[in-house]
Amino acid sequence: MNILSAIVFLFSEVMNLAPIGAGIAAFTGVGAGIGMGIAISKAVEGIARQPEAAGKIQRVLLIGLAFIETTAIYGTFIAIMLVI
Amino acid sequence: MLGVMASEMPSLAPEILWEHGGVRITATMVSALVTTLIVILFALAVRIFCIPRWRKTFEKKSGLRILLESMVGMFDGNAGETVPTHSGFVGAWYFAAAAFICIGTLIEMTGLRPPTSDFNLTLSMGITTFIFIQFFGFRDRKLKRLTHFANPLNWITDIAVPLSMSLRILGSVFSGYLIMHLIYSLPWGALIGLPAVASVIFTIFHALIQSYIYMFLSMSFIAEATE
Repeated sequence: MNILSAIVFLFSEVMNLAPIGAGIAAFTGVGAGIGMGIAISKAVEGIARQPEAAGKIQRVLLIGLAFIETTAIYGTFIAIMLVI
Repeated sequence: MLGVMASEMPSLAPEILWEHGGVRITATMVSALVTTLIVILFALAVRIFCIPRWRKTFEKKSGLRILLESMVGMFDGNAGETVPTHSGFVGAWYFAAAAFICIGTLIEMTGLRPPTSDFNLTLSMGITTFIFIQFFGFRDRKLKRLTHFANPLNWITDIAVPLSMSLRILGSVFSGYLIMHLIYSLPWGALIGLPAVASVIFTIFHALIQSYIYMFLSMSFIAEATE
């Protein structure tokens, strides 16, 4: 029994590690936030360049944002399932 | 945690209201029945009182008719340009499904547990879309559809479609329901303005967006299968 397994035993029997895993799983929101910021900035640039295409750009932007938000929801859902 | 015990938090499995023999009635079954009744009664009321074909005042337009025509026009237009071959059936079915998801999530504001927070319901909606994709794919392309399955990577994509659709709706609605439950457990001082603001973000926003996304993605997958 080496020191590593002793530490793992200590941490798993003394501390509940599931909420820490939930906190790590909630980091998926960071990538989603950065991706959404890039998408919206490009969409605003496109509308500023050609205001007649605002309707089409808005529709495509909303669909892209839904895909990105899905990934963030996956991470949040896993975090909630670990806590409950 | 601010007075909320771990035993009071809602679980993923809905609460069982009545069980006898092999029959089990859960809280989400009751909510789904209430949602269906609301949708059917609203449609009947609109058809009988606002759009009476048998009266002479049929040609008169009103605000409600213009609103309904714009909504139906949006769904039919989407179906017509995405799935031109089956736009009638697909447009009508997904309008009903989107209405069910929207009202099923908005019913959380009356205090019931929303039916879309149950994994059974969202999984069945995902499987229904999967069945439609395969059925329309085989009917339109007959045997050329089998060449789509020659690539093993497409098997994973096909299985991932209903799973991702069900988890999308379930994740957003269930986390919204959980957060609203936590907010309503706070002491009375925090209940003065907070639930009104939080309900908009967690309930209304997800109801509108998820129903539209479900409809749009399902039509896109059907169009891709029948191309």
